[in-house]
Amino acid sequence: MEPGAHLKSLLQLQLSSDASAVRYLPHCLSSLTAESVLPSSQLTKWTTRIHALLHSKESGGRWAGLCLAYKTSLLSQNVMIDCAQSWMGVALPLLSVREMDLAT
Amino acid sequence: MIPKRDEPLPTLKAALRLLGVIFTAATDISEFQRQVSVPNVVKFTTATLQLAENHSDIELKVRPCHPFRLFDPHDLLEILCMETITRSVTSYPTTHRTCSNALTTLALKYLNGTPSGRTNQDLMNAASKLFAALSMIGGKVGAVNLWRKSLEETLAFGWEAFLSLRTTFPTEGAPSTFFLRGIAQMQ
Repeated sequence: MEPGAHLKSLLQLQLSSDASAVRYLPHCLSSLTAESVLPSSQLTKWTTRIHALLHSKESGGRWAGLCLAYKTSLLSQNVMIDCAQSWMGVALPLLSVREMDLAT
Repeated sequence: MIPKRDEPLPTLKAALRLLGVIFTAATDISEFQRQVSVPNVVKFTTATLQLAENHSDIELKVRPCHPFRLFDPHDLLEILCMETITRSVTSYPTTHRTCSNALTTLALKYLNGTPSGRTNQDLMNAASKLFAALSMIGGKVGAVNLWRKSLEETLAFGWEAFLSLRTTFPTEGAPSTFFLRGIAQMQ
C-alpha cells in the first residue's frame, strides 16, 4: 500500500463529518499503524483534520480529535513534535476550564 | 481558544493522555524541550492538580470500598491525574519546584486515609508513586535531603499513630504490658 493511502480512505469515509468521526473512532484508532503516519501527501490533510476536530463545536468531535492526536503522537514522534504547540494550545485550556467555572 | 464550558469526562481524560504524551515522549530532543515542554509543563501540572482536587463526584464513586471491582481502576480521573503528574515530575523534576507543596498535599490526601473506610487500593498505589517521585524535585543535590525528610516525617507519623493506640481492657491486664514491651522492643 502506498504511504498515505490508509489516511486518505479514513479521511474520505470515517472522518468525513464530526459525527461519523465519533462513531467510527474505534476503527480509526485500531487501524492506524506507524506506517500510515509516515510522511506523505496525506499527512498534512490528516493533521489539518485533527486540528479541525479539536476546534469542533461538538464536545464529541473534540474528544475524537484528542484521541486521534494521542494515537498519532504515539505512532510518530515527528508529527507530534510538529503539532505539539497547536495541540497543546487546545488541550491545556480544556483542562483549566473547571477551575475558571469554580472561580466565577 | 475554546470557550469556557464544562467539558465531559472523556474529553478531559483524552486531553490528559494527549498532553501526557506530548510532555514525556520527546525528552531526548533538547530543542523541543526548551521551546515547548519546559515553559508549559508546570501549567499542565497545575491544571491537572486542580482537576484532581475539584473532582468530588468521582470521589463519591471510590468511598464505598467494595471487595469486587465495580469499575475499571484506570478509569478513575484522580488516578489518571496522579499518574500523569508522576510522569511529568519524573521528566522535569526541578521545573516543578514551585508547586512541590501542593503536590505533597495531594499525595498525602489519599495516603493519610479517610475515617469513613479503607482507601481504594489503586488510588493509594497511584498516590504513593506520586509521593515517591516528589523528592526528585530537589534535583541531584537536594533530592537526598528531601527523601530523607519525607521518610522521617512518615516514620514520625507512624510512631505517633502507634503510640496513641489505647486498650479498652483494664490497665493492669496483659494488653498494656504487651504494648509496652512491644514499644520497648521496637525502640
